[in-house]
Amino acid sequence: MTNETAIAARNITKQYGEKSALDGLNLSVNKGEIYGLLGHNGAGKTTTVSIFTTLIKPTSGEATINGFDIAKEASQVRSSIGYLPENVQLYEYLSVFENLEYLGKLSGLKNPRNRILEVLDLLEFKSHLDEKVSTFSKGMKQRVGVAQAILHSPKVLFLDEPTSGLDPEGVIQLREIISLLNTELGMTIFMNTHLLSEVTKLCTQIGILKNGKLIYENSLSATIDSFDKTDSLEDIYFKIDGASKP
Amino acid sequence: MIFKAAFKHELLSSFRSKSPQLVVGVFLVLTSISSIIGWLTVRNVTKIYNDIVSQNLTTAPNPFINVPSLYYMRDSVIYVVLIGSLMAIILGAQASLRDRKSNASELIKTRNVNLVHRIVGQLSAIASIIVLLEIVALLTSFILIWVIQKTPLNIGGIYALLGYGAVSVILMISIAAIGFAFGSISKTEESSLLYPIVGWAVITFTIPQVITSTHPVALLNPTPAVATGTGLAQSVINGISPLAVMENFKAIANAILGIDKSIQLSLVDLFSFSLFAVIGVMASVVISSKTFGRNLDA
Repeated sequence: MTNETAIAARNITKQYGEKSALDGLNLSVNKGEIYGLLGHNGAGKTTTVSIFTTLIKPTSGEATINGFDIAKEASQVRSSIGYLPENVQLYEYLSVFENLEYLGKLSGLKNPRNRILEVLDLLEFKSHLDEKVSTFSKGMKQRVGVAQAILHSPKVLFLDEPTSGLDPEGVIQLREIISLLNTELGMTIFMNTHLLSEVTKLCTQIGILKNGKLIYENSLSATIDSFDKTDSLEDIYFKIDGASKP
Repeated sequence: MIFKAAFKHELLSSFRSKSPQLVVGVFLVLTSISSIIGWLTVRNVTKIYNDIVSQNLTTAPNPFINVPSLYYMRDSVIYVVLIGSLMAIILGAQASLRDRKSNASELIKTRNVNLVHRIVGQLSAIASIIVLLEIVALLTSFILIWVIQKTPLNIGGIYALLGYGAVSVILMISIAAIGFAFGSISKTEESSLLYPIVGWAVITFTIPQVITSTHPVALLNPTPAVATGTGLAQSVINGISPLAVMENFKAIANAILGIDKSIQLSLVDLFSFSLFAVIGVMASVVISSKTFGRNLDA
Protein backbone atom coordinates (compact mmCIF):
# COMPACT_ATOMS: atom_id res chain seq x y z
CA MET A 1 0.00 0.00 0.00
CA THR A 2 1.35 3.45 -0.93
CA ASN A 3 0.28 7.00 -0.18
CA GLU A 4 -1.53 6.85 -3.47
CA THR A 5 -3.71 3.95 -2.33
CA ALA A 6 -7.28 4.95 -1.54
CA ILE A 7 -8.71 1.49 -0.84
CA ALA A 8 -6.80 -1.60 0.15
CA ALA A 9 -8.16 -4.97 1.24
CA ARG A 10 -6.06 -7.89 2.46
CA ASN A 11 -7.49 -11.39 2.80
CA ILE A 12 -10.96 -10.22 3.64
CA THR A 13 -13.39 -13.01 4.39
CA LYS A 14 -17.01 -12.82 5.38
CA GLN A 15 -18.96 -15.82 6.58
CA TYR A 16 -22.70 -15.99 7.08
CA GLY A 17 -22.96 -19.23 9.02
CA GLU A 18 -21.70 -21.93 6.67
CA LYS A 19 -21.94 -19.68 3.62
CA SER A 20 -18.92 -17.73 2.56
CA ALA A 21 -19.81 -14.35 1.02
CA LEU A 22 -16.19 -13.24 0.60
CA ASP A 23 -13.24 -15.57 0.45
CA GLY A 24 -9.79 -13.98 0.85
CA LEU A 25 -10.46 -10.75 -1.02
CA ASN A 26 -7.34 -8.78 -1.92
CA LEU A 27 -7.93 -5.53 -3.69
CA SER A 28 -6.25 -2.19 -4.22
CA VAL A 29 -7.58 1.05 -5.65
CA ASN A 30 -5.39 4.08 -6.28
CA LYS A 31 -6.50 7.61 -5.53
CA GLY A 32 -8.40 9.25 -8.36
CA GLU A 33 -9.48 5.97 -9.96
CA ILE A 34 -12.99 4.91 -10.85
CA TYR A 35 -13.04 1.27 -9.89
CA GLY A 36 -15.79 -0.98 -11.18
CA LEU A 37 -16.42 -4.18 -9.26
CA LEU A 38 -18.18 -6.58 -11.58
CA GLY A 39 -19.89 -9.81 -10.75
CA HIS A 40 -23.07 -11.81 -10.98
CA ASN A 41 -25.82 -11.39 -8.40
CA GLY A 42 -24.64 -12.96 -5.16
CA ALA A 43 -20.95 -12.73 -6.09
CA GLY A 44 -20.23 -10.64 -2.96
CA LYS A 45 -20.21 -7.11 -4.41
CA THR A 46 -22.59 -5.57 -1.88
CA THR A 47 -20.84 -7.39 0.97
CA THR A 48 -17.55 -5.84 -0.19
CA VAL A 49 -18.99 -2.33 -0.20
CA SER A 50 -20.73 -2.91 3.12
CA ILE A 51 -17.39 -3.86 4.68
CA PHE A 52 -15.57 -0.86 3.17
CA THR A 53 -18.28 1.51 4.39
CA THR A 54 -18.16 0.01 7.94
CA LEU A 55 -21.76 -1.23 7.71
CA ILE A 56 -20.63 -4.78 8.48
CA LYS A 57 -17.47 -6.25 9.94
CA PRO A 58 -15.40 -8.81 8.07
CA THR A 59 -14.97 -12.24 9.61
CA SER A 60 -11.23 -11.92 9.06
CA GLY A 61 -8.76 -9.83 7.12
CA GLU A 62 -7.93 -6.14 7.04
CA ALA A 63 -8.88 -3.16 4.95
CA THR A 64 -7.94 0.49 4.87
CA ILE A 65 -9.77 3.40 3.32
CA ASN A 66 -7.72 6.57 2.84
CA GLY A 67 -5.13 4.98 5.11
CA PHE A 68 -7.60 4.38 7.95
CA ASP A 69 -8.22 0.88 9.23
CA ILE A 70 -11.91 -0.04 8.88
CA ALA A 71 -11.92 -1.87 12.22
CA LYS A 72 -9.71 0.33 14.39
CA GLU A 73 -10.41 3.73 12.82
CA ALA A 74 -14.00 3.33 11.69
CA SER A 75 -14.85 6.89 12.69
CA GLN A 76 -12.14 8.37 10.44
CA VAL A 77 -13.18 6.02 7.65
CA ARG A 78 -16.78 7.24 7.89
CA SER A 79 -15.67 10.87 7.82
CA SER A 80 -13.76 10.33 4.62
CA ILE A 81 -16.30 8.35 2.59
CA GLY A 82 -19.62 8.94 0.91
CA TYR A 83 -22.08 6.15 0.23
CA LEU A 84 -25.01 5.70 -2.09
CA PRO A 85 -26.88 2.44 -1.38
CA GLU A 86 -28.65 0.56 -4.15
CA ASN A 87 -32.20 1.46 -3.16
CA VAL A 88 -32.01 4.78 -1.42
CA GLN A 89 -35.51 6.08 -0.71
CA LEU A 90 -34.65 9.01 1.58
CA TYR A 91 -37.43 10.68 3.58
CA GLU A 92 -40.14 10.99 0.95
CA TYR A 93 -42.31 13.44 2.86
CA LEU A 94 -39.43 15.91 3.18
CA SER A 95 -38.10 18.29 0.56
CA VAL A 96 -34.68 17.93 -1.04
CA PHE A 97 -33.34 20.66 1.23
CA GLU A 98 -34.83 19.14 4.39
CA ASN A 99 -33.39 15.72 3.54
CA LEU A 100 -29.96 17.13 2.80
CA GLU A 101 -29.97 19.48 5.79
CA TYR A 102 -30.66 16.57 8.14
CA LEU A 103 -28.12 14.22 6.59
CA GLY A 104 -25.60 17.06 6.37
CA LYS A 105 -25.95 17.76 10.07
CA LEU A 106 -25.55 14.06 10.83
CA SER A 107 -22.34 14.27 8.78
CA GLY A 108 -21.09 16.98 11.12
CA LEU A 109 -21.85 20.06 9.01
CA LYS A 110 -22.93 22.81 11.41
CA ASN A 111 -24.61 25.03 8.87
CA PRO A 112 -25.04 22.95 5.73
CA ARG A 113 -27.18 25.40 3.71
CA ASN A 114 -24.38 26.87 1.59
CA ARG A 115 -22.84 23.48 1.00
CA ILE A 116 -26.22 22.05 -0.04
CA LEU A 117 -26.69 24.84 -2.57
CA GLU A 118 -23.15 24.32 -3.85
CA VAL A 119 -23.66 20.57 -4.29
CA LEU A 120 -27.06 20.92 -5.93
CA ASP A 121 -25.60 23.53 -8.25
CA LEU A 122 -22.89 21.07 -9.22
CA LEU A 123 -25.50 18.38 -9.85
CA GLU A 124 -27.73 20.85 -11.71
CA PHE A 125 -30.55 20.13 -9.29
CA LYS A 126 -30.89 23.44 -7.47
CA SER A 127 -34.29 24.19 -8.98
CA HIS A 128 -35.77 21.21 -7.08
CA LEU A 129 -34.54 22.43 -3.69
CA ASP A 130 -37.97 22.80 -2.08
CA GLU A 131 -39.74 19.94 -3.82
CA LYS A 132 -40.74 16.83 -1.88
CA VAL A 133 -38.77 13.70 -2.71
CA SER A 134 -42.03 11.69 -2.99
CA THR A 135 -42.76 13.45 -6.29
CA PHE A 136 -39.44 12.40 -7.85
CA SER A 137 -38.57 9.72 -10.39
CA LYS A 138 -35.96 7.12 -9.48
CA GLY A 139 -33.35 9.07 -11.41
CA MET A 140 -34.09 12.28 -9.52
CA LYS A 141 -33.93 10.41 -6.20
CA GLN A 142 -30.54 9.05 -7.22
CA ARG A 143 -29.33 12.62 -7.71
CA VAL A 144 -30.45 13.54 -4.21
CA GLY A 145 -28.76 10.32 -3.09
CA VAL A 146 -25.51 11.41 -4.71
CA ALA A 147 -25.91 14.87 -3.17
CA GLN A 148 -26.20 13.43 0.34
CA ALA A 149 -23.18 11.23 -0.31
CA ILE A 150 -20.89 14.12 -1.28
CA LEU A 151 -22.18 16.81 1.11
CA HIS A 152 -19.27 16.44 3.50
CA SER A 153 -16.69 16.39 0.66
CA PRO A 154 -15.57 12.78 1.03
CA LYS A 155 -12.40 11.58 -0.64
CA VAL A 156 -13.84 8.20 -1.62
CA LEU A 157 -17.34 7.57 -2.88
CA PHE A 158 -18.96 4.13 -2.78
CA LEU A 159 -21.83 3.48 -5.15
CA ASP A 160 -23.79 0.25 -4.97
CA GLU A 161 -25.39 -0.52 -8.35
CA PRO A 162 -25.91 3.20 -8.96
CA THR A 163 -27.72 2.84 -12.27
CA SER A 164 -29.97 -0.03 -11.19
CA GLY A 165 -33.58 0.67 -12.10
CA LEU A 166 -32.87 3.91 -13.94
CA ASP A 167 -34.27 4.66 -17.37
CA PRO A 168 -31.73 5.26 -20.18
CA GLU A 169 -31.83 9.02 -19.69
CA GLY A 170 -31.28 8.63 -15.96
CA VAL A 171 -28.35 6.30 -16.61
CA ILE A 172 -26.67 8.85 -18.89
CA GLN A 173 -27.22 11.69 -16.40
CA LEU A 174 -25.85 9.70 -13.48
CA ARG A 175 -22.87 8.60 -15.55
CA GLU A 176 -22.09 12.25 -16.30
CA ILE A 177 -22.35 13.08 -12.59
CA ILE A 178 -19.99 10.26 -11.58
CA SER A 179 -17.51 11.35 -14.21
CA LEU A 180 -17.79 14.95 -13.02
CA LEU A 181 -17.17 14.01 -9.39
CA ASN A 182 -14.04 12.17 -10.43
CA THR A 183 -12.61 14.77 -12.79
CA GLU A 184 -13.73 18.01 -11.11
CA LEU A 185 -13.52 17.03 -7.44
CA GLY A 186 -10.87 14.34 -7.72
CA MET A 187 -12.93 11.79 -5.85
CA THR A 188 -11.95 8.15 -5.93
CA ILE A 189 -15.03 6.20 -6.90
CA PHE A 190 -15.73 2.56 -6.15
CA MET A 191 -18.82 1.20 -7.79
CA ASN A 192 -20.53 -2.15 -7.85
CA THR A 193 -22.24 -3.03 -11.03
CA HIS A 194 -23.29 -5.90 -13.16
CA LEU A 195 -23.67 -3.65 -16.20
CA LEU A 196 -20.65 -3.98 -18.46
CA SER A 197 -21.68 -0.91 -20.42
CA GLU A 198 -21.19 1.23 -17.30
CA VAL A 199 -17.71 -0.10 -16.76
CA THR A 200 -16.67 0.61 -20.34
CA LYS A 201 -17.89 4.18 -20.21
CA LEU A 202 -16.76 5.13 -16.74
CA CYS A 203 -14.18 2.99 -15.05
CA THR A 204 -10.42 3.19 -15.21
CA GLN A 205 -9.89 -0.04 -13.31
CA ILE A 206 -11.98 -3.19 -13.00
CA GLY A 207 -12.22 -6.15 -10.72
CA ILE A 208 -14.29 -9.26 -11.25
CA LEU A 209 -15.73 -11.05 -8.28
CA LYS A 210 -16.97 -14.61 -8.46
CA ASN A 211 -18.26 -16.58 -5.49
CA GLY A 212 -16.58 -14.18 -3.08
CA LYS A 213 -13.19 -14.32 -4.80
CA LEU A 214 -11.59 -11.62 -6.89
CA ILE A 215 -10.71 -13.54 -10.01
CA TYR A 216 -9.43 -10.62 -12.05
CA GLU A 217 -8.12 -7.10 -11.49
CA ASN A 218 -6.54 -4.73 -13.99
CA SER A 219 -6.93 -1.38 -15.66
CA LEU A 220 -9.67 -1.22 -18.24
CA SER A 221 -7.27 -0.35 -21.05
CA ALA A 222 -4.87 -3.20 -20.14
CA THR A 223 -7.82 -5.57 -19.95
CA ILE A 224 -8.99 -4.66 -23.42
CA ASP A 225 -5.39 -4.80 -24.77
CA SER A 226 -4.71 -8.25 -23.36
CA PHE A 227 -7.56 -9.91 -25.22
CA ASP A 228 -8.42 -10.32 -28.90
CA LYS A 229 -9.00 -7.02 -30.59
CA THR A 230 -12.34 -8.31 -31.82
CA ASP A 231 -13.51 -9.13 -28.29
CA SER A 232 -16.06 -6.84 -26.75
CA LEU A 233 -15.85 -6.19 -23.02
CA GLU A 234 -18.74 -8.59 -22.64
CA ASP A 235 -16.73 -11.33 -24.39
CA ILE A 236 -13.74 -10.54 -22.17
CA TYR A 237 -15.90 -10.71 -19.06
CA PHE A 238 -17.23 -14.14 -19.91
CA LYS A 239 -13.74 -15.38 -20.82
CA ILE A 240 -12.38 -14.24 -17.44
CA ASP A 241 -15.43 -15.39 -15.53
CA GLY A 242 -15.26 -18.78 -17.19
CA ALA A 243 -19.00 -18.86 -17.59
CA SER A 244 -20.51 -19.61 -20.97
CA LYS A 245 -22.07 -16.62 -22.64
CA PRO A 246 -25.86 -17.01 -22.71
CA MET B 1 -25.55 18.59 17.33
CA ILE B 2 -26.87 15.09 16.62
CA PHE B 3 -29.49 15.52 19.35
CA LYS B 4 -30.63 18.84 17.93
CA ALA B 5 -30.74 17.58 14.34
CA ALA B 6 -32.66 14.44 15.36
CA PHE B 7 -35.07 16.50 17.49
CA LYS B 8 -35.88 18.89 14.66
CA HIS B 9 -36.11 16.08 12.10
CA GLU B 10 -38.48 14.10 14.30
CA LEU B 11 -40.78 17.08 14.89
CA LEU B 12 -40.90 17.78 11.17
CA SER B 13 -41.50 14.12 10.32
CA SER B 14 -44.22 13.63 12.93
CA PHE B 15 -46.13 16.68 11.73
CA ARG B 16 -45.83 15.51 8.11
CA SER B 17 -46.78 11.86 8.75
CA LYS B 18 -50.41 11.09 8.08
CA SER B 19 -50.71 7.88 10.13
CA PRO B 20 -50.79 9.33 13.66
CA GLN B 21 -52.86 12.38 12.77
CA LEU B 22 -56.26 10.71 13.18
CA VAL B 23 -55.53 9.25 16.60
CA VAL B 24 -53.87 12.51 17.71
CA GLY B 25 -57.03 14.35 16.63
CA VAL B 26 -59.32 11.96 18.49
CA PHE B 27 -57.19 12.19 21.64
CA LEU B 28 -57.11 15.95 21.52
CA VAL B 29 -60.86 16.30 20.96
CA LEU B 30 -61.87 13.77 23.64
CA THR B 31 -59.51 14.96 26.36
CA SER B 32 -60.38 18.56 25.57
CA ILE B 33 -64.12 18.05 25.73
CA SER B 34 -64.04 15.57 28.62
CA SER B 35 -65.18 18.40 30.89
CA ILE B 36 -68.25 18.94 28.74
CA ILE B 37 -68.99 15.22 28.82
CA GLY B 38 -68.54 15.25 32.61
CA TRP B 39 -70.78 18.31 32.94
CA LEU B 40 -73.49 16.71 30.75
CA THR B 41 -73.37 13.59 32.93
CA VAL B 42 -73.78 15.62 36.12
CA ARG B 43 -76.55 17.72 34.57
CA ASN B 44 -78.53 14.72 33.30
CA VAL B 45 -78.24 12.76 36.54
CA THR B 46 -79.19 15.86 38.55
CA LYS B 47 -82.21 16.40 36.27
CA ILE B 48 -83.37 12.82 36.83
CA TYR B 49 -82.66 13.18 40.56
CA ASN B 50 -84.77 16.34 40.74
CA ASP B 51 -87.64 14.58 38.94
CA ILE B 52 -87.48 11.71 41.42
CA VAL B 53 -87.35 14.11 44.37
CA SER B 54 -90.33 16.07 43.02
CA GLN B 55 -92.28 12.79 42.95
CA ASN B 56 -91.19 12.12 46.56
CA LEU B 57 -89.52 8.89 45.50
CA THR B 58 -86.29 9.58 47.41
CA THR B 59 -84.99 11.58 50.27
CA ALA B 60 -81.35 10.76 49.58
CA PRO B 61 -79.09 13.71 48.80
CA ASN B 62 -78.07 14.43 45.21
CA PRO B 63 -74.99 12.28 44.58
CA PHE B 64 -73.43 15.10 42.60
CA ILE B 65 -73.97 17.85 45.08
CA ASN B 66 -70.74 19.61 45.97
CA VAL B 67 -68.68 17.58 43.48
CA PRO B 68 -65.17 18.99 43.18
CA SER B 69 -64.51 21.23 40.16
CA LEU B 70 -62.16 18.69 38.59
CA TYR B 71 -64.81 16.00 38.76
CA TYR B 72 -66.00 17.22 35.38
CA MET B 73 -62.84 16.01 33.70
CA ARG B 74 -62.75 12.55 35.28
CA ASP B 75 -63.38 10.89 31.90
CA SER B 76 -60.14 12.27 30.55
CA VAL B 77 -58.34 9.74 32.80
CA ILE B 78 -59.72 6.86 30.78
CA TYR B 79 -59.12 8.69 27.50
CA VAL B 80 -55.44 8.90 28.39
CA VAL B 81 -55.39 5.18 29.23
CA LEU B 82 -57.22 4.16 26.07
CA ILE B 83 -56.61 6.69 23.30
CA GLY B 84 -53.53 8.45 24.68
CA SER B 85 -51.69 5.15 25.04
CA LEU B 86 -52.56 4.01 21.53
CA MET B 87 -51.55 7.40 20.17
CA ALA B 88 -48.24 7.12 22.01
CA ILE B 89 -47.59 3.63 20.61
CA ILE B 90 -48.25 4.86 17.07
CA LEU B 91 -46.11 8.00 17.47
CA GLY B 92 -43.22 5.97 18.91
CA ALA B 93 -43.37 3.05 16.48
CA GLN B 94 -43.73 5.30 13.44
CA ALA B 95 -40.66 7.29 14.48
CA SER B 96 -38.33 4.30 14.47
CA LEU B 97 -40.01 2.68 11.47
CA ARG B 98 -39.41 5.80 9.42
CA ASP B 99 -35.68 5.14 8.98
CA ARG B 100 -36.26 1.49 8.24
CA LYS B 101 -38.97 2.18 5.66
CA SER B 102 -37.01 4.92 3.92
CA ASN B 103 -33.87 2.79 3.84
CA ALA B 104 -32.08 5.70 5.46
CA SER B 105 -30.55 3.52 8.18
CA GLU B 106 -27.55 2.76 5.97
CA LEU B 107 -27.00 6.45 5.31
CA ILE B 108 -26.97 7.07 9.05
CA LYS B 109 -24.76 4.10 9.89
CA THR B 110 -22.12 5.21 7.40
CA ARG B 111 -21.89 8.55 9.20
CA ASN B 112 -20.36 9.27 12.57
CA VAL B 113 -23.66 9.42 14.37
CA ASN B 114 -23.97 8.78 18.09
CA LEU B 115 -27.06 6.59 17.97
CA VAL B 116 -27.95 7.13 21.63
CA HIS B 117 -27.92 10.92 21.14
CA ARG B 118 -30.00 10.52 18.02
CA ILE B 119 -32.58 8.27 19.70
CA VAL B 120 -32.80 10.54 22.73
CA GLY B 121 -33.33 13.44 20.31
CA GLN B 122 -36.14 11.57 18.58
CA LEU B 123 -37.80 10.55 21.85
CA SER B 124 -37.50 14.11 23.16
CA ALA B 125 -39.31 15.38 20.07
CA ILE B 126 -42.10 12.84 20.60
CA ALA B 127 -42.23 13.88 24.25
CA SER B 128 -42.56 17.52 23.16
CA ILE B 129 -45.48 16.65 20.91
CA ILE B 130 -47.19 14.79 23.77
CA VAL B 131 -46.56 17.70 26.14
CA LEU B 132 -47.99 20.11 23.58
CA LEU B 133 -51.13 17.99 23.14
CA GLU B 134 -51.58 17.69 26.89
CA ILE B 135 -51.17 21.45 27.35
CA VAL B 136 -53.89 22.09 24.77
CA ALA B 137 -56.15 19.52 26.45
CA LEU B 138 -55.58 20.97 29.94
CA LEU B 139 -56.02 24.53 28.78
CA THR B 140 -59.32 23.63 27.12
CA SER B 141 -60.45 21.82 30.27
CA PHE B 142 -59.48 24.82 32.40
CA ILE B 143 -61.52 27.16 30.19
CA LEU B 144 -64.50 24.82 29.98
CA ILE B 145 -64.60 24.28 33.76
CA TRP B 146 -64.47 28.06 34.16
CA VAL B 147 -67.43 28.44 31.76
CA ILE B 148 -69.41 25.57 33.37
CA GLN B 149 -68.86 26.75 36.95
CA LYS B 150 -68.82 30.42 36.05
CA THR B 151 -65.72 30.74 38.20
CA PRO B 152 -62.09 29.80 37.46
CA LEU B 153 -60.27 26.98 39.22
CA ASN B 154 -58.59 28.01 42.44
CA ILE B 155 -54.83 27.66 42.83
CA GLY B 156 -55.18 24.18 44.35
CA GLY B 157 -57.25 23.11 41.36
CA ILE B 158 -54.67 24.50 38.94
CA TYR B 159 -51.88 22.60 40.72
CA ALA B 160 -53.98 19.43 40.59
CA LEU B 161 -54.61 19.98 36.89
CA LEU B 162 -50.89 20.45 36.24
CA GLY B 163 -49.99 17.43 38.37
CA TYR B 164 -52.48 15.27 36.49
CA GLY B 165 -51.10 16.57 33.19
CA ALA B 166 -47.57 15.68 34.25
CA VAL B 167 -48.53 12.13 35.21
CA SER B 168 -50.47 11.69 31.95
CA VAL B 169 -47.49 12.94 29.95
CA ILE B 170 -45.11 10.58 31.78
CA LEU B 171 -47.40 7.62 31.04
CA MET B 172 -47.70 8.48 27.35
CA ILE B 173 -43.97 9.20 26.93
CA SER B 174 -43.01 5.87 28.46
CA ILE B 175 -45.50 4.05 26.22
CA ALA B 176 -44.24 5.98 23.17
CA ALA B 177 -40.71 4.86 24.07
CA ILE B 178 -41.87 1.25 24.20
CA GLY B 179 -43.57 1.72 20.83
CA PHE B 180 -40.30 3.16 19.52
CA ALA B 181 -38.41 0.06 20.66
CA PHE B 182 -40.91 -2.24 18.95
CA GLY B 183 -40.61 -0.13 15.81
CA SER B 184 -36.87 -0.78 15.93
CA ILE B 185 -36.91 -4.54 16.44
CA SER B 186 -40.05 -5.83 14.76
CA LYS B 187 -39.72 -7.65 11.47
CA THR B 188 -42.71 -5.97 9.86
CA GLU B 189 -44.52 -2.66 10.17
CA GLU B 190 -47.68 -4.46 11.27
CA SER B 191 -45.99 -6.40 14.07
CA SER B 192 -44.31 -3.24 15.36
CA LEU B 193 -47.78 -1.95 16.20
CA LEU B 194 -49.40 -5.29 17.04
CA TYR B 195 -46.95 -6.38 19.78
CA PRO B 196 -47.10 -3.21 21.88
CA ILE B 197 -50.87 -3.04 21.46
CA VAL B 198 -51.18 -6.61 22.75
CA GLY B 199 -48.87 -5.66 25.64
CA TRP B 200 -51.00 -2.59 26.33
CA ALA B 201 -54.17 -4.74 26.35
CA VAL B 202 -52.53 -7.11 28.85
CA ILE B 203 -51.53 -4.37 31.30
CA THR B 204 -54.81 -2.49 30.83
CA PHE B 205 -57.26 -5.38 31.01
CA THR B 206 -55.77 -8.81 31.70
CA ILE B 207 -53.58 -8.05 34.73
CA PRO B 208 -56.20 -5.84 36.45
CA GLN B 209 -58.78 -8.55 35.81
CA VAL B 210 -56.54 -11.12 37.48
CA ILE B 211 -55.91 -8.99 40.55
CA THR B 212 -59.40 -7.55 40.99
CA SER B 213 -61.70 -10.16 39.44
CA THR B 214 -63.41 -7.22 37.79
CA HIS B 215 -65.40 -7.58 34.61
CA PRO B 216 -63.29 -6.16 31.75
CA VAL B 217 -65.94 -3.56 30.90
CA ALA B 218 -65.70 -2.20 34.44
CA LEU B 219 -62.03 -1.55 33.77
CA LEU B 220 -63.13 1.19 31.41
CA ASN B 221 -64.12 3.22 34.45
CA PRO B 222 -61.84 6.16 35.13
CA THR B 223 -61.55 5.07 38.77
CA PRO B 224 -59.29 2.12 39.63
CA ALA B 225 -60.70 -1.30 40.49
CA VAL B 226 -59.96 -2.59 43.98
CA ALA B 227 -57.68 -5.60 44.34
CA THR B 228 -59.25 -8.45 46.27
CA GLY B 229 -57.89 -11.72 47.64
CA THR B 230 -56.70 -13.50 50.73
CA GLY B 231 -53.78 -15.73 51.66
CA LEU B 232 -51.81 -17.01 48.69
CA ALA B 233 -54.04 -15.12 46.28
CA GLN B 234 -53.18 -11.89 48.08
CA SER B 235 -49.46 -12.64 47.72
CA VAL B 236 -49.89 -13.22 44.00
CA ILE B 237 -51.88 -10.01 43.71
CA ASN B 238 -49.20 -8.06 45.58
CA GLY B 239 -46.60 -9.53 43.26
CA ILE B 240 -48.24 -8.59 40.01
CA SER B 241 -50.01 -5.37 41.04
CA PRO B 242 -47.09 -3.17 39.97
CA LEU B 243 -47.58 -4.52 36.44
CA ALA B 244 -51.11 -3.12 36.34
CA VAL B 245 -49.66 0.18 35.17
CA MET B 246 -52.92 1.64 33.92
CA GLU B 247 -54.69 0.94 37.21
CA ASN B 248 -51.78 2.54 39.04
CA PHE B 249 -52.08 5.54 36.75
CA LYS B 250 -55.83 5.75 37.37
CA ALA B 251 -55.24 5.63 41.13
CA ILE B 252 -52.61 8.38 40.98
CA ALA B 253 -54.71 10.54 38.62
CA ASN B 254 -57.81 10.17 40.79
CA ALA B 255 -55.86 11.02 43.91
CA ILE B 256 -54.35 14.11 42.29
CA LEU B 257 -57.61 15.34 40.80
CA GLY B 258 -59.44 14.60 44.07
CA ILE B 259 -62.34 13.03 42.17
CA ASP B 260 -62.86 10.19 44.60
CA LYS B 261 -62.15 11.13 48.20
CA SER B 262 -61.66 7.47 49.13
CA ILE B 263 -58.58 7.24 46.90
CA GLN B 264 -55.38 8.48 48.49
CA LEU B 265 -52.06 8.90 46.77
CA SER B 266 -50.22 5.61 47.33
CA LEU B 267 -46.43 5.53 47.41
CA VAL B 268 -46.48 1.98 46.07
CA ASP B 269 -48.53 3.05 43.05
CA LEU B 270 -46.31 6.07 42.55
CA PHE B 271 -43.13 3.99 42.80
CA SER B 272 -44.26 1.22 40.45
CA PHE B 273 -45.59 3.79 37.98
CA SER B 274 -42.31 5.74 38.03
CA LEU B 275 -40.29 2.55 37.70
CA PHE B 276 -42.32 1.55 34.65
CA ALA B 277 -41.66 4.94 33.06
CA VAL B 278 -37.91 4.93 33.77
CA ILE B 279 -37.39 1.32 32.68
CA GLY B 280 -39.57 1.85 29.60
CA VAL B 281 -37.56 4.82 28.36
CA MET B 282 -34.14 3.42 29.24
CA ALA B 283 -34.86 0.01 27.74
CA SER B 284 -36.13 1.67 24.60
CA VAL B 285 -32.94 3.71 24.16
CA VAL B 286 -30.71 0.67 24.75
CA ILE B 287 -32.72 -1.72 22.55
CA SER B 288 -33.17 0.79 19.73
CA SER B 289 -29.51 1.77 19.64
CA LYS B 290 -28.33 -1.85 19.67
CA THR B 291 -30.71 -2.95 16.94
CA PHE B 292 -30.61 0.18 14.78
CA GLY B 293 -30.75 -0.47 11.05
CA ARG B 294 -32.41 -3.88 11.05
CA ASN B 295 -34.11 -4.46 7.74
CA LEU B 296 -37.87 -4.79 7.57
CA ASP B 297 -39.17 -7.97 5.96
CA ALA B 298 -40.59 -7.31 2.52
